[in-house]
Amino acid sequence: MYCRAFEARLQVILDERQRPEFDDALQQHAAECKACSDLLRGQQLLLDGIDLTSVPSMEISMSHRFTPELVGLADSSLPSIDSPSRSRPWLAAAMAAGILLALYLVLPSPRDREMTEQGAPIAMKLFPESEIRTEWGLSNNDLSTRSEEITSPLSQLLVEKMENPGISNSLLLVSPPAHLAGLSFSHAPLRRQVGNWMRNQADNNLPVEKLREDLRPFSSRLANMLEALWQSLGNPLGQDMG
Amino acid sequence: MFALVEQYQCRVFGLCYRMLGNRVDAEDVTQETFLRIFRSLHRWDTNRDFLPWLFAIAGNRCRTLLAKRAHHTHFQLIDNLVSESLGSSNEADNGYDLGEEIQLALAQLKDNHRLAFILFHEQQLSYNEIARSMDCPVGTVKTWIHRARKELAGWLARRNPELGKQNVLQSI
Repeated sequence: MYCRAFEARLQVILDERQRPEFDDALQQHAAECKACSDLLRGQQLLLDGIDLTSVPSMEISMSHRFTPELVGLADSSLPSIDSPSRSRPWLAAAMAAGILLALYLVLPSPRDREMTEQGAPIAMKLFPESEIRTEWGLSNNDLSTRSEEITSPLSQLLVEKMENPGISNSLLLVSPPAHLAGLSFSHAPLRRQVGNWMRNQADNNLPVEKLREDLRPFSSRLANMLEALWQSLGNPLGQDMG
Repeated sequence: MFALVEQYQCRVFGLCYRMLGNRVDAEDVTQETFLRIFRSLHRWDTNRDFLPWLFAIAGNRCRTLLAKRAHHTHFQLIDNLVSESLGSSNEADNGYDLGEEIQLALAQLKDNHRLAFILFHEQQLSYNEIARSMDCPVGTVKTWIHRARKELAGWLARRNPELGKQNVLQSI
């Protein structure tokens, strides 16, 4: 083996995230060539250094360091809940449609009850239990009594998505605070709504793979935004619900 | 949103520390990275992977900071590296610490080469992901990483006490 072939082979092995010292051909050439032997030893040291040495840990979790920044960010980017500027001329019509849809989605159908008893449907697996913050310990029935208030803004989003399946999630969520300002900041209703909607879509014979690919980022994005709102503003309906 | 921070903060901080060689700067850039993520989340193309996008922002923040302090980069960086590694080393007594040597060697690389190398070897991104993250062709990424490996290996071989001693003896 020539030195250039040695270097090329060495790079291929490193590209495959393998250790070069276990390659017989490299070892044979390194035994005959001092320069390549040093190069091989240097690569071993490099991999050892990357594998065995670690960066120092942070002084404090970044989320603690973040709190004032995030609150400021959310305060500056979210419209005031009481602000008249939030009103939109199309909002009333959209809200009415959303409420109707919410009632349709939230009121459990016999099939829904059956699915719940059988276990979570595949779409709901997109929301791991560990991520759910249900601090009030209320049953679904308790929460569903406030379904209009909780779900109508979200339903508005979902209606838009259903009516315009080609619309990108980014475009749909381009101004999320306005859409989500009326939400309860509770994850449970949000997840149930999205899950119900996905089940509804699945009933329309859409491929599950397509749904997962299309909706996973959409739904996780919603969850992320709710997380930010939750952390920043607390739970304005907490007293009513708790 | 805090869950996002908790999930990725160590990886982002690790990248920043390797790039900047300074814990305080790395923490500041990590914070700035997440703030930018929050502000521009609505621009994220949800059909693309999140991690390359996250690292793209972190890498850009690191390079911006490096450019700002370019006039005294090496002196400050190496001073920081040496001071940070002192006292934390098990091998400091005999004057050779592999972790410190890795950081010193990384500091010698060009910013792009260093970023590509760290993303591949430490953050375990694929070539394609690195190319997306750094907004350049895959072939360019491969070239950068190959050059980085060769320079780093050469540095470590020269600085290694055993290999260095052998080289000195051979030169006599």
